[in-house]
Amino acid sequence: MTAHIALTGITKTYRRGADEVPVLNGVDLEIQRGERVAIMGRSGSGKSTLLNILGCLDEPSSGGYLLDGVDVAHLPDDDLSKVRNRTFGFVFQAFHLLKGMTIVENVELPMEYSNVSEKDQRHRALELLELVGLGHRVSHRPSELSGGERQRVAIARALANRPSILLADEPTGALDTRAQVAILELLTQIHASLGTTMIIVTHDPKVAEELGDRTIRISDGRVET
Amino acid sequence: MIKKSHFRRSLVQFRTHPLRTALALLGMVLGVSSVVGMVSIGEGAQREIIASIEALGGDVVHIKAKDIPDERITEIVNDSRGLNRNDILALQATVPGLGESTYARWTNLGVSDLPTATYNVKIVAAEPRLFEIHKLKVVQGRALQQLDQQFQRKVVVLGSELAARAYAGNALGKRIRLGYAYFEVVGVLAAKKSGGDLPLDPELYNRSVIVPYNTAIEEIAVADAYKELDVISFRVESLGQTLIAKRAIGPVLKALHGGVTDFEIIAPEEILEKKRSTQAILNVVLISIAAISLIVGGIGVMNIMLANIMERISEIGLRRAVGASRREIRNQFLIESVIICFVGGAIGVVFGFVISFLVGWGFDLQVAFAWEAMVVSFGLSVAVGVVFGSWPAIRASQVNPVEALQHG
Repeated sequence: MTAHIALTGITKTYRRGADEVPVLNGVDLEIQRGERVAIMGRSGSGKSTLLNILGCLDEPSSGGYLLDGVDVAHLPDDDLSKVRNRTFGFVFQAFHLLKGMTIVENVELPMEYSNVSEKDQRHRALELLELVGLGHRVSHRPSELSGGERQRVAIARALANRPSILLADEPTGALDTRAQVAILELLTQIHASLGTTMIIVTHDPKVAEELGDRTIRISDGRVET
Repeated sequence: MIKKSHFRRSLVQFRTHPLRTALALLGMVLGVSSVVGMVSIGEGAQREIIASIEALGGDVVHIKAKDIPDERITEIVNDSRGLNRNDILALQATVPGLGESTYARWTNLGVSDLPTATYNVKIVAAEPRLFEIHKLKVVQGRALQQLDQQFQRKVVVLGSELAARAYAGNALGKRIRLGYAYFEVVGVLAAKKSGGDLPLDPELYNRSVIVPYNTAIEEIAVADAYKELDVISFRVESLGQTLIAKRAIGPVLKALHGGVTDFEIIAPEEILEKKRSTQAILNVVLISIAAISLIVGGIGVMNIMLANIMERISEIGLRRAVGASRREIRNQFLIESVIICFVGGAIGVVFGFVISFLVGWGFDLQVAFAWEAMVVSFGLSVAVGVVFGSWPAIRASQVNPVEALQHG
């Protein structure tokens, strides 16, 4: 059986003025379907860059990326966008909710870029908000919610297109302890019921222990073994 | 591909930034309304020219006596008799294409018993066909007729302004004294609009007393011994024939007048052409100004779209992350600017019509509401949206999503 995700020799170099700054120096990584992986490392170690490459938001400078056996390392923009839309759900530390929209509209966002009818979008979004425990606040604005509630909305949004992989970059980084616990519980519950593959970047060992079936440590742009 | 959701997104944007949207709209409203205004005013001027030409008959060639200073008269009086009735017969015999003719003589009103101060009133001693050929419409009573001329009846038709001022609209049947004879008012003319700077201004009829030519010869003293007539008019086949007729009449008449050009020939076609070419230059200027204001409006839209993109950079990053392609981001911003321009254009068209109506009313100009102007302005505003929206939209689509997501 092929791995859900297989990275081989991934490198990423940023250009900063005349200098080339290497961020990833040959990452090899396999992740199986349904697995929960925590990525840890000091800041600047390249863990966020790795997550962005995994999520097809960023292209590797070299190396191979097979997603379900399909090479996605260097696809044209349209195809990469489609892959992000169908396969991945993103959760960010800063939530990134659009403040001009109600929370149900925020959850509908990924479906706007796939072929889902408006009626089905609304139906699915309400269902997801129910799932994350915000079924009673669907027409509120993000600014009317607490941090923990905002992150729940973001998680609902990430699940909109039934992605097989959930990518989370410090999902609890901006939350107080109680909200942190609630979010971790929610993610655990989602994994249990949906079987979604989860890749979580964190610097918090507690989060890694709670959510990770496996923890990968990154330092100096490589996976520590 | 353009979807309904694109429009919904734009509406969300407009709802959250009403002031910004209103400012961008304002630029477009002003741009488009100036285009509409300029075109309507230009078009109105064009129509006014045609109307003023037609006020004296578009298919008529007029020969008008020049005013000759007294000291020159002694010089030329042995060569030329001035404009006279024999000229008509001579011209009709030699110049092809001349149809019906009429003639008149203008004298300043001297002694009279008009019950009002007379200022700049002319006695027009007219051959009766003048009514038809100079398009003088009678609103009360009747025009002068050939029988009035034949029997030298002492009847007059009054110009509209004179009738209103002297008799407050009840001029019919009144008797007035001109010189030493009494005349009966048998008709009142409709008001004539001014022909602007036409050499033969139809407005003169508004303050005139029109008398049968033969009666005038008999009853009213002639003030000017030099020339017999002030104007001779010939009808020709059409407006297009007037310039040809003018060119043919000129040398013949000059020969008849012993080589003296003591007359001026007015061909409506020529006046029309001259006016049209000045108007064309003016139109170019007007439309350039309008185009510049439209471009300024477009730059306003571009400016605001760029500010928009800067502020919404994290939104762009997020949309890219959840699956928007570059193309979709570009379309979203392009549609926003097109909507602004379209709505601004629609308001601008209405506004432009209102403004040109007010200008026309305030300055007594004719304005013409051309539907072409509306369609063109609408099209232009959408084009402005596309042209000035493109660059910001392309910039938005090229935003790097990873960097964009690092902004708040």
